[in-house]
Amino acid sequence: LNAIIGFCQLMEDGLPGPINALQARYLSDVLKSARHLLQLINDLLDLSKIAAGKMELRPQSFALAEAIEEVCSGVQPLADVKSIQVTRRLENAPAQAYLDTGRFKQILYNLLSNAIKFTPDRGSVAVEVDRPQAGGFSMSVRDNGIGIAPENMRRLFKEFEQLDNSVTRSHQGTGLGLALTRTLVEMQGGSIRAESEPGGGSTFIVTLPGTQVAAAEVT
Amino acid sequence: VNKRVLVVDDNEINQRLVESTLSFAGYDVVCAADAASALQRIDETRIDLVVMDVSLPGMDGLQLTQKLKGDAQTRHIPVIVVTASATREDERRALAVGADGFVGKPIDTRSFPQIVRRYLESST
Repeated sequence: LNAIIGFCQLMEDGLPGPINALQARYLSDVLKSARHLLQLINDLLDLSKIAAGKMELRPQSFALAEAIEEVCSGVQPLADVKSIQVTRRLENAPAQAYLDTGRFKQILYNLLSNAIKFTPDRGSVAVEVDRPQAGGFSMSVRDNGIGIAPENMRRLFKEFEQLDNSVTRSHQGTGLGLALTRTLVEMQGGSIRAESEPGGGSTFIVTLPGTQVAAAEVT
Repeated sequence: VNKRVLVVDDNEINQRLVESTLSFAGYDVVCAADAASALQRIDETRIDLVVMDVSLPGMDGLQLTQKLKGDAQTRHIPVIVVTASATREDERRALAVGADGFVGKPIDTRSFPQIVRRYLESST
């Protein structure tokens, strides 16, 4: 798959020679399908790794705001395509978090790419970090997209569920992202929930433990 | 004079992808599928940078990197280690044997030429 994507990109960039408009469109479709398939395979591999008990987390201390910024810039190209603004409010974020950094970024990436996917052009997506009384920290990703009907809320985090087939078609997804995200959150001792009104956008709130927060503040 | 890059990868298709990406970016590219032929290439021609896959038959990419970095004749050549297994631990191991750069697979054909250029520039 990576070779398929790589060689298609070379051709799309016209490096081996000029391509015509129709070829460019076909190549762009091949690339889209290949990237979708790659995402599906990666999600399936992660889920089966979890099912087999082989997913190992390596928690470490890292600068939280920096990691969030990194993911936000990572999804910027997706947002740019739809002229969506990704705003962040991180002033309440603890300086350090103690989690598996890669998996933490994957959680945020999944939520952000989802939010962007379901937000109309020129909409907005907001990331906010807070510190609830209970300890740890919470991270919310809010969009002003199509929202989720109440009867669909409980299906949200299940594998192979995409809420609306007609929506799925215009918003290509694997149907695995949120299930995987939930598992990654819970494996790190956290929880995830969603709040939404159809037409009024959705907010996904992840609460994660911050065992190192107190220590980081003392030093 | 074009800079010359040696691509060491035992997977023919990956090798061709990296080779194509770099030659379209204006580099001379030579290839090798194992450590022995890589060393032979370095012996017979000037190499300005090595793109090194880790899993090779026989001597692997990390051992080969260590060998190149331990030899006064070749230690100046920047080595970018490219691997599908791109954890922090893998990166630490690659840097420990003297690799100059570490890039996770798959390489992105659009950004990889710039990465190569950066290591070529910092080596001169």
